[in-house]
Amino acid sequence: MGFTAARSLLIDALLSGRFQHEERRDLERKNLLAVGDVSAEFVIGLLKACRGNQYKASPYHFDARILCHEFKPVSAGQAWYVKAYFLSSDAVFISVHR
Amino acid sequence: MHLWKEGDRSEAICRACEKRVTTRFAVRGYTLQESQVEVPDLLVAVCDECGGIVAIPAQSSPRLKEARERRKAESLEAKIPSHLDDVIHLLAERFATAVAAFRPDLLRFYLGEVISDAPFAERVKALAASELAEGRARMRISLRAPEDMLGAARDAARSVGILTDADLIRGILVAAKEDVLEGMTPERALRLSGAAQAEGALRAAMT
Repeated sequence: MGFTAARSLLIDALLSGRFQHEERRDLERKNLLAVGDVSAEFVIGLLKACRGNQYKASPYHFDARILCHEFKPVSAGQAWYVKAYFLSSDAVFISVHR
Repeated sequence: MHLWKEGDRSEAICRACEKRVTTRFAVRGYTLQESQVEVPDLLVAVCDECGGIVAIPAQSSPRLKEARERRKAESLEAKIPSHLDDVIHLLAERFATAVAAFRPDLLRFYLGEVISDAPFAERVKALAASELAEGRARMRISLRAPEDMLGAARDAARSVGILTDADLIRGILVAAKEDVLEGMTPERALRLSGAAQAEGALRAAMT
């Protein structure tokens, strides 16, 4: 799955509500979408602002069959970090933060 | 928008089991670890193997946001220069009381003054802009107080142009230094000593 496909699927998940957030101890700092500090619409904007050279995919360390998609867009002069993967038809966000 | 229901099945990565697992959505109490904000009755995904919470569905985010906002309304946090934290220690020493217990009482007392005394609120604004209020904000100070009290204090502060909690706290602490340590306002110092005495102070401040 390349950048365009990954981004498109993630945007679809955000639009449809078919996404979850991976539980983590530092959820409030590392996943602003999960705690409502940013909206799904805002994250869609970040993804749309992302260029191909601001994206990479790598195997998830807990399960190498799962690809983690990392996006590092710059929006309004701020660098953001979005990390997510797909399980079945749902997206799972690990990180959404500056 | 898609909605999950209790009992629905899904999948997730369980960090405790360190693998991909099947999950079941359940309503559980959930605690945000960093802020320790407790969120009752949250729909979460539970690992079928270890029973731990492994994921939070999108639809639960508004409840998390609401719980955090409720906590924010009940607490005031600011970063202040270390020399202003020294003021709290000096006042506690003056009142012969433990600083940990005295700190919130001091802040609540002065927030009450800001609420009830408009000229004092103006003075706090001026002191927040004074040289003594400046400095690198190294110390984090936080206060839990009833939501209506914090709301009233913030309203009173905003009405005189104090725009941030940090400025409010800085101005209050400079005022406390003047009132007690410089003997500028003996009447207020005496009332503050009463609040300190409630925490077991041995003597009133010298005026």
